[in-house]
Amino acid sequence: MAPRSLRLRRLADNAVWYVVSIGVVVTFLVPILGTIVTSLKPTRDINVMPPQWIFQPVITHYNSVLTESGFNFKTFFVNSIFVALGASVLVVLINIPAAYSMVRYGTGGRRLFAFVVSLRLLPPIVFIVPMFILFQMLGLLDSIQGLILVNTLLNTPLALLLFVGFVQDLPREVEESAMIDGASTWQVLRLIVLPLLLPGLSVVLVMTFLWTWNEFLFSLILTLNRATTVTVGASFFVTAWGVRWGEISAAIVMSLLPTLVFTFFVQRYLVSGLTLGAIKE
Amino acid sequence: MIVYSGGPARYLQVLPLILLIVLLTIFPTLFAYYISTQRVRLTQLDNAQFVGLNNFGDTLGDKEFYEALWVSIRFAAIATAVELLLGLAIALWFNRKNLPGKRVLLSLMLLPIMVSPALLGIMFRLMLNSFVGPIAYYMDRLGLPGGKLLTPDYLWTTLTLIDVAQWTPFVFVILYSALQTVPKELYEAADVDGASAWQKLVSITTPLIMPFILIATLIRAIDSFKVFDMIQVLTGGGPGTLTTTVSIYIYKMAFNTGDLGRASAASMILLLALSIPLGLVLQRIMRQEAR
Repeated sequence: MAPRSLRLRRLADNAVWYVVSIGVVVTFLVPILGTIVTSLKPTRDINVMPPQWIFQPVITHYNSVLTESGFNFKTFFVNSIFVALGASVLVVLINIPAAYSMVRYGTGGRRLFAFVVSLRLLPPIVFIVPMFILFQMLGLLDSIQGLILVNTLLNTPLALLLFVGFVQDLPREVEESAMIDGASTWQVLRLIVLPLLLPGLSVVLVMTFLWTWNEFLFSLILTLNRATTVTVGASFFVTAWGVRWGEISAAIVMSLLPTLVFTFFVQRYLVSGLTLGAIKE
Repeated sequence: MIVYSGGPARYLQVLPLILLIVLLTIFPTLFAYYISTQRVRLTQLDNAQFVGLNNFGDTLGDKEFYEALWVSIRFAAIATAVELLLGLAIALWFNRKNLPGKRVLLSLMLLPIMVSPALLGIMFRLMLNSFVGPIAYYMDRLGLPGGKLLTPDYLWTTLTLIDVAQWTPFVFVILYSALQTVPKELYEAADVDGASAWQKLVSITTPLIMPFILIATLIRAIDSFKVFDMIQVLTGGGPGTLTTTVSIYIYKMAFNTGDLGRASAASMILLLALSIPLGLVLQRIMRQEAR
């Protein structure tokens, strides 16, 4: 009898674990789930209390956000894609050679590395005034290029940290034999290191893309309307559209798409990235 | 063993990075110092006038600046404490068992970290709306303040809870990976000695994951201290100056009041105040890389 009751207790214990764990996860996802649900509700069901959980899902809100004139959502969305892509590519181009040089040749010593990485902790707010004036003088205000530059800077600490880690993990032997065969450091970097870094490179690309997509402060102050990104655009909608919650939700859900698609791809590296490498898995 | 030299190429490889840092960090910082000694209006950028340390004097004499600092410190302290306790509790709970489906749950748990804080702020604006918000509705039904959460009396509680909702998963994921590093044998030995669950937590788990707790605390404290996006979309710092954190104070000084000189002075004071905690983290990173 004893083993059986023990098994039952174990089963019950597992069931409790599942219920509580799922409950916790769902609790943290409530705002996202609630917004998705609202975006699919017919307007009359949105404005009814208690909240309706059974309804005929509609895509009209998505349609109006994308087609109605006055919503510049498509422009904002395209801007975000360009800015995020541009920053991702630039971040990779700048940081791979730098990380390689720092790891293999010790360029800049530990100080340069620590300095760049620690920039992630500075409050970005202290840069808004000089950046604004600088961008004004250089004619970069309200431009995609300007936002690409700023986001490249914002994402460089994390990218450098990750790339330095990735390069450290590469075997030196292949590089060494290539050098014996007379390859230059650039050839080694391009033909040997770069292909080996591809998995890590894709992680940095995606992370930079997401962080840039989410960036709010600089997009807010450095754009007027031409280069406005989706995150800032969505916050305008709230004031401009007032009570059209269906449309607002639809806009938010579309703005969340990259996050929902890519998060799972980069999550293995999130911990070391988010803690500035203080924790490596 | 080949001795890598790299020649001049090694400097060329870091050059773009150095240029980026110099042009977009070091130069703007120096420029901000310069601006902080000028009287510059947002609308008349060309018309700057040297005023010495007046902007610093004005900022340090401004009651609202201290209020903003205090409000940010309080927000950071409370939010970080709650996130730490909650994150630790959830990490301990998840660590209890390894059952199928756990990976999926862990992945989903990470989702809030990757959502733009500005968008999350708007989502909560919808969820807490007293007419259409489901969270507001159900909380009211339970006798909790739901529809009132966006009124001045509850605003700070609400903002803190939103920060907690977004960043507890961050603390959780750090502490969860920390718990994975604790050897199981230690608990088995403690069981033999008849230690209680609480004793095991206090004497085994906590000391072993302390470095992780510290880094999570430090990063959360710094990040929640400089909070901007979420509060800006929800309240814009208002009503009045009720929710004006130090970041919002600087933003409003620069772009609402239009006094760029004073905004810069406030930025410089903030940078100075933050240099101590930032230095601590910097030291930690350097030690880490010295492995």
